[in-house]
Formats: sequence, C-alpha cells, structure tokens
Amino acid sequence: MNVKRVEDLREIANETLSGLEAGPALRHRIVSAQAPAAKRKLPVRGLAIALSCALVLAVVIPVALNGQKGVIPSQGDPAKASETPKIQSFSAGGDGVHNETASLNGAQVTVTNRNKDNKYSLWDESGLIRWDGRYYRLIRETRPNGNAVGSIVATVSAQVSDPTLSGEAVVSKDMPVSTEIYSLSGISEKSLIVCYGSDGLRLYQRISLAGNGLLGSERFADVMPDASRVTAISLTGQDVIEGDEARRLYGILIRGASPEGNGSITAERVLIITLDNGAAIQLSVKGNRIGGCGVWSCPDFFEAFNP
Amino acid sequence: MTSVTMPQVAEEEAVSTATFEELYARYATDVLRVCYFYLGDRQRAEDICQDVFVKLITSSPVLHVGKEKSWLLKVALNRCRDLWRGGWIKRVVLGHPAFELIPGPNEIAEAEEKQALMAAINHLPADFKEVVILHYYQGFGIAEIAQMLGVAEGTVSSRLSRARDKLQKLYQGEE
Repeated sequence: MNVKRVEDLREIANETLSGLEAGPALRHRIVSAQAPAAKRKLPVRGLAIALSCALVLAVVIPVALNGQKGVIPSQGDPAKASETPKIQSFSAGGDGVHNETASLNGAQVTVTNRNKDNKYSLWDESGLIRWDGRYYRLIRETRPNGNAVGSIVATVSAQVSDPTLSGEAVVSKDMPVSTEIYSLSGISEKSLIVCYGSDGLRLYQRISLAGNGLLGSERFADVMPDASRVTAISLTGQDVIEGDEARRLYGILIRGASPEGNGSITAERVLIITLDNGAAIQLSVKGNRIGGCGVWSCPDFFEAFNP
Repeated sequence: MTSVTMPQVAEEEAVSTATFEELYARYATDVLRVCYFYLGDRQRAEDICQDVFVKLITSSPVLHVGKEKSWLLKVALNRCRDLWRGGWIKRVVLGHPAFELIPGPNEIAEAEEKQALMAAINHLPADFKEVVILHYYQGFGIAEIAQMLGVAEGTVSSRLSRARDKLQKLYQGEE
C-alpha cells in the first residue's frame, strides 16, 4: 500500500464512515442537555397567576356550557342553543362543508351517524409548535377542561411562518413570543400540550412534520396518552365506542403498533380518541396503518375494531 | 513625486451570526466523524459531539465567519485527546478492530486497502493523528491547524511529515 493514499483520506473516510451521521436524535440530546430548565419552575407570582387563570377557566367554561346547553364555546350561537347543534366538518379532500349532528357532553365532542364516505379532521393547519425537536399540531373543535392544565413546560421563543418551523428551540406558527406552554395534568407533554390563546385554551397534539417524528428511543406509547384516560374511540364510518371497550381497543392499538417511519400518510379515514379531560386527538388511517407521530402498522387493532 | 504604499491592513473578520441549528446542520456530522475517527468508538464520539455543541450553546463564543468549524473541531479534539490519553481508551478501545460497525465499500481488495489506511491512522500517536485528520480529512491548511492546536506552523509541518513516515512503516508491518 502506498502512503500517498492518505491524500485521498477525505473520500475514503467519508465512504467508510458513511453510516455515521449526526441526526435529529443527537440534536435532541444536545438541546436537552443544555436546557434542564425546560421544566423550569415558575416564580411564585407567575405560578399564582397561571393557577388563577386555570381556576377562572375551570369555572367559566362549565358555566358557559351549562348556560348554553352544550354549544361549543368557540362556535355556539346562543340564539340556537335550544336546537340540536350542528358541527361544520370538512372532508380532507376539501370538497365542501358537511353538516353533521353532534351530541355534546360538557367540553367533549362525540359525533355519531357519520356518512361512511365522509371524513373530517380535527387537525388545524393554522396552528403548529416545535419544541426541542418535537412537533405539535393544533386540534380544533375540542378543548380540554380548564382544570386539566398542568405545569408550565416551555415558552415560545419565536413565531415564524416557515412551515418547517426551523430556528429557535421553541417555535410557533400561531402563538406569539413569550406564550407559555403547559402540559395537561397526568399526561406526558411528549404527547399533548396546551397554550392560552386569544380564543381560550388551545390543545396541540404531537405529530410528525417534514419527516421529523419520534426522537431518540421514543415509542408509540410515549407520544400517546395512557389508555386509562380514554373515554371513547371513533373511526370514520363506524359507531362510537365508549368506556371499557374503548380503553381495551386503545390498549391493543398502543401495544401492537409497529413502526414504519417518521413520515405521514394520506388519510382515508380518521380515528378520534376522546379523553376524560375533554381533549380529543386524532390519527390518520389508511388501510391498516395509522399516522400521527410517525406511521404505524396495527392490523390487530383494526381486526379487533371490526370483528 | 514619491508614491507611498500604505501597508495592507487586514480587514476585521466578520462575526458569525449562525445559529446553533445552522451550525449543527452544517458541521455536526463532520465533528462526529472526526471524533469517531480519533477514538474508534461510536458512543464516545457521540458523547463528545454532544459536549462540543452544548459548549457552543452555553458559552456563546464569538465566532468569525468561516471559522466556526475550526472552533468546533478544536473543542472536539481537545476532548478526544483527553479521553485518548486517559486510561479508559487504552483499556477498552485499543485491541479492538477499529471502525468495525461502520459500513465499508463494495470491492474487497479496495475495501481492505481503505480499511488498512483508516486502521493505520487510528494507530498513530495522538499528535500525528490530529494533524492528519485535520489536514487530509478536513482539508485545513497548515496555518489554520497551527492556530487550532496552539502550536507553531513548523510543528504542524513536522508532524505531518513524521506521520506519513509512520504510516508507511505501519503499512509495511514494521511497527
């Protein structure tokens, strides 16, 4: 061997080390390592203000709902409170508005008797947050109860229109700088977070964006709420399943899902999961695969859902 | 009239405004591969790469445009050197085949030659390995390497020359 080959070292080394790349997982480690204050404590005064806001919302929302007989706070028309409320829903293909009948229970939304060919999405394109490499999308039409708000976990450091939300550690498309981000009580902030917006409490669900989904050794269970919090599951074209059966099916989903990647899928149907705190989240469904934070194959779940 | 030539005044180097995200995207893989090249251990390489970028974030050094990578690699090499000279590396890493977990090229003979080069560099003393990696792998010039390592340019040239001699001996099985 000729020592002159050392002059080709760059090409040789890059070829030999081609499998070694610094990716999102390492970046996440770096950001986490220098930011132990991501779960920083609020000063006592700030904590008092946050708790006061949560308490006010906890009182106001149930009173408003009781007074208006189940109309969703963001959409209800008091003049029509006595009529069966309808929710405007849009198919993912954007072919128009489909009115549906909704039965409401406090801050939850339960939709029944949907047209089998119809699909609608809770995901709101206007709302996105990126926090330490994790992406969250705004959920519309459902809001968790005010007393479900947990502790502050981060603060928005930049508001950008860039769809990939690149730049600062905590970036939002819709929430202004200094907006405080909270967890939901008893639910990991790796799956759901909330902010107080001009229109009230905003719920954000962990999703994949631009190929960025799970971080490091995260599993499906790490980015989804615990089964004990589930009160209902609904799949496009199927009746809503509630209670113990919903939790049993959800458990099959969480335990049996096999990872297929950090991308996304085009929904043929949607799977809505309703929680006991008033929040509802969504997964895209195509065949036996689901998409949310990552794409997952779970034939056992769909077999159990459609025996 | 006698013309006067004013001495050239070096332009002040522009301060870099690159963010952590930009520097990570541009240089983290190079930093990681240099660390792995130096230590032959992926986990340690990732740990040091993490330390380098954490230091970048927490110490907020004043970097000049075009000098960001040399700062990152300087910090990385300092850490690698400390680890290399420590007992852990000598007990654990030496004696194990280097680069065994990283995919190699297809042609067997070509692959063996390339692997031999990588292994030979891995067996160089730390001082020689650093200049070889910085010059032949990362493409830095003598002057810049001298600045990064805090030694004279003549020292860098000397180490490069001696490193090549040593590599030749390693290939020929004389060491």
